[in-house]
Parts: sequence; C-alpha cells; structure tokens
Amino acid sequence: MTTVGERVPMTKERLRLYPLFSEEFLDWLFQRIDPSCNPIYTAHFAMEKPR
Amino acid sequence: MSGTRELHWSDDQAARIVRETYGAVIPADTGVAQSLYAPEELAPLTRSAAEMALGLGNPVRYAGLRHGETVLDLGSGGGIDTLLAALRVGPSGRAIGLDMTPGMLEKARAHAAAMGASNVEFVEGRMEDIPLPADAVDAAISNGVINLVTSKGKLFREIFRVLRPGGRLVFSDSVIDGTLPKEVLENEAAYAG
Repeated sequence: MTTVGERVPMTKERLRLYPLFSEEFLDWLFQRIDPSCNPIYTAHFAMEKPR
Repeated sequence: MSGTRELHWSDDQAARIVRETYGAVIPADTGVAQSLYAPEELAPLTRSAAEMALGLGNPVRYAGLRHGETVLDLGSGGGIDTLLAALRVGPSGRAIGLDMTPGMLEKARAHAAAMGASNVEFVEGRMEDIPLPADAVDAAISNGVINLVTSKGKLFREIFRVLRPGGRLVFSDSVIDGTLPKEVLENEAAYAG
C-alpha cells in the first residue's frame, strides 16, 4: 500500500466543519490527546490487486 | 479517531454507533465539501449532495477512473464520491455506492435522481460482507470510512475479492501516530468521528 498526495493535519479548526462534533466535544478531545499523537492527519492510500 | 491498535468495540457495537451517529446527521453547510473538492468537481452536484459530504479526502481524484469502468464506493454516505465517480466512468460505466445506514442510502438515491444519473446505484450492506460477486469491480474507493470498521482484515479480504485482477483500491482516512487515551478510545463520539 502506498500513500498518495499529502498528509493534511486534522486540526480542531478543520474538525469544526463537520456536523458530527460539538464545540464541547472538540474541547474535551483536544484536552486529552497526548502531544505524541499530534497531529492527527488525513491521507490517501492506494493499492492494486495483483494480476 | 479510530484505527488504533486497541479496539474497544465489537463489530456489532461499532456498526450501531456508526448507524446512529450518521443517521442523525443534520447537514449545515457545504464547508466540508468546499475543503475537499474543487469548484468544478462540485458544480454538477446538487447543494444537498455537497452538504452531506462527510469524508476526509477526495479518493476519486487519485483513482484514475476511466470511461466504462465499474467502481465501488465503500461507505457511500450521502453519495458525493459515488456521484463524482459516476461522472468519471461515464454512461458506459457504473458506480455502486455501498452503505449500511438506510437514511444515508435514501439521501444518496435522491441526490442521484436530482442529477439524472442513470449509471449509479446504492446498495445496503456492510463493507465486511460486500454483496457483489468476485472480480466485479475495476476500482474501489472509500472516503473516511475504513477507520470505522473493526474487522479490518476481513474488510480488506472482501475488497480484494470483489476487485478484478489489476483493480485498484484508493481510499482516504485519518491516521494517528501513537496511542489514544483509554477514555477517548471508549468514547462513542470519538469512535464515530
């Protein structure tokens, strides 16, 4: 499996765009994520089924 | 936020959380869509389809879809990536959206009908048990959904079963380096996100 494109950090500001999360939840979440886990990021992955 | 080494939820618990969370989504605006897709990609879609964009990337952009191909969108949600794939494969191709949330399937079908898309279908089912025969699709895409599946080995075996030899899988998802705290791992909202 390969990564394609760039990794994009999943910041609190970016998560605010999603209607899944309340501001209270985001405050709670980011208070608990260890700095060693940051940043959460998003990426694209690709693979091919062998012929 | 899921996809860590320690899995707190059973398959059925995870499915319930996902169904309840995504079935209750009330779209507010097109902010997510505008952050992931180019204006020219969004132009053929209805505003309602763009408002239901909840993905994490743009797998269609990297899938190299060609006219006439069959593509499967795993966890199709409101259908935006399925519809974009349908436009790429054209009338001679076929785009299939698979989702386990009835409310999302209903929305996705409405979005396809509003576009007049005739090469799209939305199917109810779970990604770990894809209701398609072997070697059925040229490409599989997924947008921010694979992290929600607890049995990832079973999931990837299913994807490879339905891909034709030489077929591609392209997906976007969230990744984290390190380990999340137990209280985050056991939080339903964190899992569903």
